Amino acid sequence: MGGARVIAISSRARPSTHAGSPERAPRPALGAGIDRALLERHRAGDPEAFPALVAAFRAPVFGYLTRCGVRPADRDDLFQEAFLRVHRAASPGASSELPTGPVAPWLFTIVVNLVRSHFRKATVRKGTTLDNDAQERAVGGEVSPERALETREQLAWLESAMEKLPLEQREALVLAGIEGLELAEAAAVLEVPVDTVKTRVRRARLALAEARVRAGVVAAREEGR
Amino acid sequence: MTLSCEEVRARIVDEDDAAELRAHVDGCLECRSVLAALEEVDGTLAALGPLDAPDALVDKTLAAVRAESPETTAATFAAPPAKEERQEKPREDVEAPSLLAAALAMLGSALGALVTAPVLLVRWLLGVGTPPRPPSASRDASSGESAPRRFGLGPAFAMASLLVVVGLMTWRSFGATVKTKIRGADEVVNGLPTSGDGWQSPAAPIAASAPEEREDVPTASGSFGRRGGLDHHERGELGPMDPATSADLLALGYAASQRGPTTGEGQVALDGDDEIANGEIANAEADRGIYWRDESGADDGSRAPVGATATLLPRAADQDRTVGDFEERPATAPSEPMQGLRGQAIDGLLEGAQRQGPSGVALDQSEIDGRFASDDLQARLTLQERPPIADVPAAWLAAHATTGLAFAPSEGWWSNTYVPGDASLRMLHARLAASTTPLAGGASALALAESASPTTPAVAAPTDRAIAIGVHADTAAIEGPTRVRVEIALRAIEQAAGRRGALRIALVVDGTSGLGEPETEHLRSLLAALSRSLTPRDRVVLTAAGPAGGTLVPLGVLRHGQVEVALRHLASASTITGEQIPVSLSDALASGLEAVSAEDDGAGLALLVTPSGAHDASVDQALHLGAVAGVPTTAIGIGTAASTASLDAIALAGEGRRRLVLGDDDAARVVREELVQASRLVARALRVGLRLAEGVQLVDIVGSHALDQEETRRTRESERAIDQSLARRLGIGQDRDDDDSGVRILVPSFYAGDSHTIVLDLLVARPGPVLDVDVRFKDLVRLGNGTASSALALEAGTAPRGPHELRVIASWLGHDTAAALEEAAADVDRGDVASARARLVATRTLVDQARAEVPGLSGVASTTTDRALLDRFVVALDGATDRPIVAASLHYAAARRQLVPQLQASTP
Repeated sequence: MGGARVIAISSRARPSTHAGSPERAPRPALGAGIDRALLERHRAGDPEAFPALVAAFRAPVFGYLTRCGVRPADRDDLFQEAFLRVHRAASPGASSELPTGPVAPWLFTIVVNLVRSHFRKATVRKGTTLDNDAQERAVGGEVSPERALETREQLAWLESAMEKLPLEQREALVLAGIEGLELAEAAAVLEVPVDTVKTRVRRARLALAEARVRAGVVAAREEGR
Repeated sequence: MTLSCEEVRARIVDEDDAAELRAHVDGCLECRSVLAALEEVDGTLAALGPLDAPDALVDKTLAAVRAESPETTAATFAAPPAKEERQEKPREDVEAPSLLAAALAMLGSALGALVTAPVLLVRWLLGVGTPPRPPSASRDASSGESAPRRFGLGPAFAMASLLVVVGLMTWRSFGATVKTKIRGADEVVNGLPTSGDGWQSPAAPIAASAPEEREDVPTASGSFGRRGGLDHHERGELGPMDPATSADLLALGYAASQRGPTTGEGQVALDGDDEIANGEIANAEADRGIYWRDESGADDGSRAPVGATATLLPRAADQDRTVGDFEERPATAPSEPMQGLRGQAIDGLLEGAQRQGPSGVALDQSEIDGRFASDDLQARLTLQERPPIADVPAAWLAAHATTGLAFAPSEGWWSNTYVPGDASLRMLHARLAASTTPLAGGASALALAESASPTTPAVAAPTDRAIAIGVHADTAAIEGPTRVRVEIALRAIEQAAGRRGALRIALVVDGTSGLGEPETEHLRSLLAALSRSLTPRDRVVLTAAGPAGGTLVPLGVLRHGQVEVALRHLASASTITGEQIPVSLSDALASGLEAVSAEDDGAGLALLVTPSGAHDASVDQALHLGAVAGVPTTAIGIGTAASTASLDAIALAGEGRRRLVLGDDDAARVVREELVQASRLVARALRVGLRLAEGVQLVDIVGSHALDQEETRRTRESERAIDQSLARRLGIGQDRDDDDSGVRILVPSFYAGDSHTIVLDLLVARPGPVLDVDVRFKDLVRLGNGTASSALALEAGTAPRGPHELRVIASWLGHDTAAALEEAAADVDRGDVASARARLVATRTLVDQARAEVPGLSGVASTTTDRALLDRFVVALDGATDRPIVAASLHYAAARRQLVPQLQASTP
């Protein structure tokens, strides 16, 4: 593996303090086990089905809205509207076709369109940050206090830096890089080719990295070491 | 050629490892800084946890949804409408007003449009009556633009359009009303519970259906509607059904009562043994068929007296479809002999349906055409008494004997009974699914086996860690030496949604016999599907066995170019001379497994792609080592040459699954399912430790056995290997070098959403402490060592059994049922049907006795299901013509009674 991540500084080996990073926690695929059957149950009148669907997707949808820069007040409205649209599409008597495979891409298509529409209508708010409520409810791996502090700083920086990304890059990054959609699924949601999603994710990552460098954080740390 | 920094970074981000890039980076401080920052950004991105919505917001959302759909989510099940709304009326009566209103609205709209539009069109053409301009129009005029003449047409068209729209909306509303009405019926039908749901029609709604309260029910000689939901009609012995659903059933005619001839009113629900001939039902056993309400109105579940007769008069109704798995036959004359009915298929029966299978309504079952019986068809019941259960509940007493017992050692390792990845289950499932011949009794072999399901453990799923435990006994208090069953319930975090972690995938291709063109195409499809499904953090290594074998693509991002080169290389195997030493499959496999095991990032998965399914002991050894290291191997057959047995053998050794790829769709499905499956793992190396208190002796761990020395050694080796692997890969501290005291059970892996129970059979000498339970596990959710502890003590005296205690008994009976099914399967495999039958009957007797002895146990759904399951298998054995299928069904049911397998992994 000559590449061995090509260069020493980009080796994937991590310092021991990072060993407990939540990135290694295997998590189920987005909406694993949530398929058309649940929507069919809802359409058939099963009162348990829709709450189950909401329970499965409340965090991914909320996370997407938050990380795409929707303000908290609007975010709650969009959250409700997204699930209402899902309900309308899958409610008894609805004529729309249900997704044939996993629900996640179908549901995220609704959410993505809502967000796009929202940003088209409203002036894009700059400087949106996570509200305390969302931050407090963020769940991740349990880490040491020192690591937690460090991680909190990095997360705060990243969240704010992501807001400066163009919406198309942010969408791709959040869907494929954070919420765990496969590239093909993200491509279907965003209605672009898979390669375009790859490109947008790559550009987003590079843009964030370059922003990080510009902020001087990396350089300062290297000097500190 | 000089590369720009931008190009270099883009290519490096895409995992390009060309020397020219390395050279550029070596000499470019800025690029090095950006790439270092990229590494940090990637790590931070990966550390971004899910953001959960506040509960208040979710509640608000659900309330909004409920507000939008009161007729479906609220009214249908939760809050039944007023009784008068539920009275069945002829459809014409219900629909006529709506139809009339819609027609009038449409007519009015059309007339309005026809009259208004021409008048306004003429006015527009003549320029008469142009309405004043609104402010916006004035601005247009003042800006010099000529005022459009058609401005005046707007209101005209708007008004006409409005009328048309109103009409259309009214019509649509009418159509929706009709659709909803029909759909509403289907919803209830599709949602009808089965006996497995522990359903019974409670007394109150049935009383409400007294003939005099129902417009459509003749009262002269009693009447019957359809009665749904029960296969075994042991009234009073099934669990309760919620009143709303019951009311819905009632409103739809799925439950009805009958005015009895002399002594009261009863219900009829017929069984597969029953027959109708010349209008009379013979062989209808009293305990199954008729339930009686005496003159006092008490409905205590008592049964009709033997020898009683009752006249049936089916409710007059016509409906173009209903549900049920009975056959449809043309309507017959009342006097024509009819045979074979069961449960609510009574309507089909009375029309002449011939069936012997389980009764009609089942969850998610598709609609089957049928018709109600004619109004004047009558039949008479003649009841026979079923042989009573033995007066002395010998089996129950034996299960609670406190003397003459043999005790198991309370120190040492016992076998694990949680085996979710057992590929043999999927093989059984596929085999049963392929069987089209119904078993005796009418059920399909698969449907019968799938009616088995595990008892839900009495512990809630954790939300902040991988595993939670619950410990309960079948009694809360004892007075002296007592046999006590203790249930230790393990339950994993649900995690129905979230993001998939990074995967390291070893794709190993068996090219030892060469790959033909079709196989190469299948492989290409598989690789293409894999490439599409990967996330940016996934890594893939491609190795191959055969003359062109070796590591074809090193661990990294799977790129199209590399794949094409690798495929061409594999295809060139036939041209390679004898100088090239072929790579063995075991070497290729070991190489791939080593590559993904060595990497620290993400979970490992191996996919062995094979056209033939060939493997030997060295391959099995490599598979085993991979599994021990936490990398399961799935066997993927490409083409039709590989036998399922050989693929299963690979999957079993590798603790993976069996797949088959015959086209692009298969490839996409296989990849998708494998990636999902690989990410469900939430805990590893669960060590369940049990320490018995003084005066407590272990009789048995149901379904398990004490491990011998060699088995113990292998178990400990496996535990330490997992311990070391996770310490190396995930930084979870090693803690398994020591050994605990007491009884230990190792569960290698536990998956999200799963639960499992371990049932102990103990002899407890006196009240007080019984046992301590500690579960240590590698928590992959919190990325640390997790523990869960609990203790059990019994009070002195007597105490009625509550839900927890009843659940433990149900769980114990479930384990016994599973064991009996498995033993019966082995008997059938040997050709000894008589022994198999005897085992099932004995266990059924135990269940019956338990239900008779323990108040409230009859209300536990899983026990009812067990009883029905055993009964059905006895019937199936009595008429078995295809014994291997019956045996497979028994095997599968036994396994499902313990744990429902993940069958998304089934072969196509």
